[in-house]
Amino acid sequence: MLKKETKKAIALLMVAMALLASQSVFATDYSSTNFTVKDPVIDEGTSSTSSANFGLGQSIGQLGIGKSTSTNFQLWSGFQYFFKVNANVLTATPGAGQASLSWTAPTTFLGITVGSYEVGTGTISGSYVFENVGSVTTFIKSGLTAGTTYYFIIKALSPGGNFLVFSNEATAVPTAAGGGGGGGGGYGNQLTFNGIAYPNSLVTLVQDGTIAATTTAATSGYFSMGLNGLSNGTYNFSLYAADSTGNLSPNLNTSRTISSGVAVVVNDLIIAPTIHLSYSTIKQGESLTISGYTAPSVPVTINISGQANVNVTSDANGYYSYLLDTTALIKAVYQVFSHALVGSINSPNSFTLSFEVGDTSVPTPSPECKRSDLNCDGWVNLIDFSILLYFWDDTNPFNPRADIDKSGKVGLRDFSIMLYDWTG
Amino acid sequence: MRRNYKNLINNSKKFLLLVLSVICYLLSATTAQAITLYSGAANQNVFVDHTFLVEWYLDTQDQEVNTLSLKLNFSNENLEVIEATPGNSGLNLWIKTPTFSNEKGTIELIGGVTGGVNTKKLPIFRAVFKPIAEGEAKIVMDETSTLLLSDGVGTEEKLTFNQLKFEIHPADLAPIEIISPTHPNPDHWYKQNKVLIEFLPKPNTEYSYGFSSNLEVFPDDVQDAVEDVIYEDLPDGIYYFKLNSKTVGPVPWEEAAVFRVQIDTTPPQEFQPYLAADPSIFAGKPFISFNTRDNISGVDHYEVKFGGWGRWEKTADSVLQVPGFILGQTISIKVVDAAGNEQISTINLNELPNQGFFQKYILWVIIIMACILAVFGYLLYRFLRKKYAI
Repeated sequence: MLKKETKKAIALLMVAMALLASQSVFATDYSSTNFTVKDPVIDEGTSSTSSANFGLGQSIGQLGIGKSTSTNFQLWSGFQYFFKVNANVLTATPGAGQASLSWTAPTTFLGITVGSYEVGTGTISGSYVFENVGSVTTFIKSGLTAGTTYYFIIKALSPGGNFLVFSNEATAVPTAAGGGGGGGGGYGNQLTFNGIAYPNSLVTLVQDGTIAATTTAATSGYFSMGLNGLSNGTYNFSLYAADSTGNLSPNLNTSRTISSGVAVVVNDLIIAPTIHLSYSTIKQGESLTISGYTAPSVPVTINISGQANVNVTSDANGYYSYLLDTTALIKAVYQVFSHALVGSINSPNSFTLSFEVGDTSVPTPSPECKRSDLNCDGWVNLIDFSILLYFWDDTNPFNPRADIDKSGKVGLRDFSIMLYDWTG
Repeated sequence: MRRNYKNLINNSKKFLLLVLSVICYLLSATTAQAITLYSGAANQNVFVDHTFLVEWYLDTQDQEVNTLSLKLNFSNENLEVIEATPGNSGLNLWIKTPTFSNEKGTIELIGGVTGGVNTKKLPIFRAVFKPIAEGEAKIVMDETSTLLLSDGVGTEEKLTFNQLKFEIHPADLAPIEIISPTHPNPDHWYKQNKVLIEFLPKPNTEYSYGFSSNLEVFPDDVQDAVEDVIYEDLPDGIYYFKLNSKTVGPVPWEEAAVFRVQIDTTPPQEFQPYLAADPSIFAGKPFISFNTRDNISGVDHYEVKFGGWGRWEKTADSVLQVPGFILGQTISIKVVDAAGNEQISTINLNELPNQGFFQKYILWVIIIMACILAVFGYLLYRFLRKKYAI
């Protein structure tokens, strides 16, 4: 029989443990580093269709062919059969008593060109006062009231002053004058990147090796990303996109020097296409699919070593493909890469892939981990660098993935390849 | 005979045309220029025991590069290195930060740029030298230096460097002394952006001075007042106060002295440490990895504090194994630049990988064990008291 004091002590201990246990909430920890679930994009469908020879504009309904106008819109009724213009994309970045506007040039077809733009400004969504700004694609709207939400839209006009297309509506809330910045360090600088990737793709901005920002490109492929609060100095940036199959584009690299009080806008950044081969080895005479993603509805050139270039066009989702008949190809190893023409700008080249024409067909395996992703978490970043550093100078390292170029030793070339594959 | 002569002329013409075509092709053919390492150290007068700074840059000649392994050899019989640092280097990942050996007369580094870079002026590193003997000193690039392109396969590209030569003058020829009460040591970085310069003028001597971040800028020919000079609200960077002097009369100006001022008021860049584990390193135990840059004076060192109650400890590594026992739920990393500016980033250990119950709830386990021990201690005391009638 336990004594009274002993019982008391045990009871106290049990109470203490119960209290502690109640604090021990075993939260279910889970994480995902290898996939991203994006909100499904409800696409009502494009407002136009096209082929190589014509574009069909949206037909709303007509009493007859003609044009109706109001302050805020123009109606082209009837079957617009002679030109087409895709909507451009506007971004608005707030500043001290102002907003910095930046927009892409609309993609035009069949001879029509953009002559000038009008910037619409208002404090109520859908209601704007327009001013013509000429043929520029950036504009600073000043004289705005801090703290007030402003709505902006861009109207593209033909050289004759006819309405072509509206951009999306963008909003900005200007800040109070005199805010931001400070000291000899020059904080508060802005840097904006605008460009074209693949429709609805995740675009990543890497600053000095670390992911600084991500954004989802529009259905037009347009993206815009900004960085604020940068101190003065020179920075290295890389941008890359992931297509819907998870393939990444090569890095698009740029360096920028930031100095006090200057808002830097970098336009016309075109992300290189992704590329995929259906087979790594193909039996001579069978067909190999070369495919990938790029900007929507643009010409794509596929370069196959020793062969004439192949020209295809990406669809509205940015997907392009080509079925290569290997009957005429000799048994050998071939290299393939692609690039796209976006507007008047050639994209950088895609990654270069290899395939062999031989006696059997071997489908391209899905890689367990990408090259340089030493820990197979889907990223090439500081963790992989740490692993590389751990095995630096090792011959036949314990982790064979650290020997990226399969030379038998972890060294400079492995480091260079990892830097090239860096995702941040 | 006439026919043979005609044939001879025709053949000669054809031959000459062929030769001319080859010459024209060779002249018109463009060759890629080799990537160049160069320094911003030209036109410095150096004197024994007076330190001077040399900054190195890379011109990638329109090519994209990402990896540099550099070895420089210097004349260690009359030159020694005081300091070699990344500074505001454009290389953001280092296998080996700049290290030097005065015994061997070498400076070495291995670094890279994530994603590659193409620029005419990529800062690589800085070094402060101190002449220790008169004579000619040289700095040359070792042939083992390697540069790799950012092409996905690490293609090696030729790297050129024109050797540096310095004529080291005797110390007694050293120019007039310039001091700065606000920035006394030219080799140090200061957070103060107001600079006071003083110098002791010589009799019957006129002075002209200038203050610039460009080493190539010289004072004008207009005499300046001999007084303490103040420069305020200076942006971060390296500045050179140059003093020219001449005797009274129509004689030319000569360089009297140069004084370097280094200002950095900006903390290093913000950064996010990584907490990870990999079965191939540290026996699968968790480790932290961190890296950042400083745009002005450069990262001087990192400090790590394990647990909220831990102490800051300096570290030379950017990859550290996490101790198995930590009091508290955080790991903090502090990066300090050469001017003493700091940036701190913290990891919450609730996300510790490969954690077991013991690691996560170590504090509670300690408390529970302490309670159990306390209870047993009390019971033991009661037992002994009763038994021995204490």
